[in-house]
Amino acid sequence: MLKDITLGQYFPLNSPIHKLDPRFKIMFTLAFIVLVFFADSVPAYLGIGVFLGFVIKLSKIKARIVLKSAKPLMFIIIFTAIINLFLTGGDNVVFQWKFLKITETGIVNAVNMALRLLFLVMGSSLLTYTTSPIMLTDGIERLLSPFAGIGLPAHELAMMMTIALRFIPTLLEETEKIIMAQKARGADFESGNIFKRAKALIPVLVPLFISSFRRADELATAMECRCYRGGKNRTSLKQLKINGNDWIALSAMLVFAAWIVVCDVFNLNIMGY
Amino acid sequence: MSITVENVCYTYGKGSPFEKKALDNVSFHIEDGDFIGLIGHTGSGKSTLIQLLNGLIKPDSGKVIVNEYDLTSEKIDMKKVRSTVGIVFQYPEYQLFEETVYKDIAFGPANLGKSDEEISAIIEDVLPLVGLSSDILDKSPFELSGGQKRRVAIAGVLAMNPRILILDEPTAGLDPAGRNDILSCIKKLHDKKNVTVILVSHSMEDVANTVNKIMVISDANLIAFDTVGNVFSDSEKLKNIGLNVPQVTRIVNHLRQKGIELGSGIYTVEAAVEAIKKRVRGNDIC
Repeated sequence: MLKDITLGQYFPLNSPIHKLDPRFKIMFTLAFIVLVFFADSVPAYLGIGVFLGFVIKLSKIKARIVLKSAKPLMFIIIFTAIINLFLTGGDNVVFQWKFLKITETGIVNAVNMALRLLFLVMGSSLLTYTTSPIMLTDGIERLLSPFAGIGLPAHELAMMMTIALRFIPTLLEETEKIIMAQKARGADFESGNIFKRAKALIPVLVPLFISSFRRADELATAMECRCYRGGKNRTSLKQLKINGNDWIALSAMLVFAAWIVVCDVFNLNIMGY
Repeated sequence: MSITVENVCYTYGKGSPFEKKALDNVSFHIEDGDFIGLIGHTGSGKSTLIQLLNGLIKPDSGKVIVNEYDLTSEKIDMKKVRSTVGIVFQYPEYQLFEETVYKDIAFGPANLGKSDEEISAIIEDVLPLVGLSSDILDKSPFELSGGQKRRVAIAGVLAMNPRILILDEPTAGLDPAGRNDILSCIKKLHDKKNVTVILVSHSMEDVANTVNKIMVISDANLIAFDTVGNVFSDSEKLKNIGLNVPQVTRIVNHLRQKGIELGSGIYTVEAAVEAIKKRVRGNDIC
């Protein structure tokens, strides 16, 4: 149940994608997100699909797991699609029933938004699936370090993000355990109306809060004991090095970006879409 | 209240890179009133097994039958099962959440639909069983000591009046006095109310001191299910799966290798003391 949520999880596999420089991967992901919002035609979406499929194949992570990453957001995706479907104006009315009206633009917009969100979630999940939290922090820290001069606490931010990511699976596991324990005491999470169900969560949330604070406290003590003093003069064990694969990945990314831009600029389409 | 487990398999994270078989074709039968020690290495499948026994998880294949309830069927009334089989999880004090000890212990019976009068009678019953006095009932569970918290949590499960009680390492992280207290509480409960008890433990000493039968799990398989004597007589087998016999038995075995025979079947310190006394007297050294 809760274990199905794979957001922010890392799958330790040995693949070319896993080995890419995290700085490149973070930048690629950002670029991918921007590009996804440029896409609005069938050829462009095909391009994204092929590119994403290719990366998933290379990463050796099962496509099903990447698809599953969108599951928790399915509600938002469907909601957005429906809003777009019914609330977009236009002349070409396809279907009308009283005040409900679906126009051609509405359908196009709904499909656009749903596909974009889906690709967005899948693309960004791939980043955490293939990058260990430590690599991710290193990457974020190095990318933010130019801004340290103007007072941006790059190291602290990166550390906070890693700790948050690191604790997602731990807290999920903890939640599962507490749910089990309360179920064993006869707690019922599955029946009743929404208020009853919300109230049923109190026996889970209170212990979870308490244990989160306890964990935070313990972690802080453990870091203090090992003389953690923040980012100043801190070096890393593994220095990030850019190698040949990173440049190959960069060229692949550029080809992909060029395709999306070309689709956009020249209005490439299949049968008008 | 017998428990029958037939050919049960369970796998975690099916289809993900973390796929792990937790139980592989496990079968056994537990009689009413048994006091069973469940031992096994970390990750051997103990926790999975106990979760199966009150329907918190369903097996991939196989059957779990507790009393007349078939836990694998869809139509089963889970509330009845939960009131029959009580589980005290590891570090149960982390599941306390109410404002007062009274309310926390009352959570279980209230979920079973007991009235307020019944609940206060139950709590009066349960408190002495875990060795707590009634003046802590109005305190917040979070201001108690570790040992007290654990007892409150155990009382919360006992308050559901289970006929089968499963405890997952109830003594972990307690000092020796606290450990002995908890273990004697459990033993008392078994002897007085004839509750079937399954005690999961890493401590061979605790197991040797309290239970009648031992179940050994290793690598998702049931390796042995026999009396304490039979399980601990094969120390090599236990060593091979990363477990051991009680410390005092190891000493007796070492002495035997040195030519000092104290007899077999010594698993508790008391038994060893008796055997040594007997031998010393026999040799007329005193």
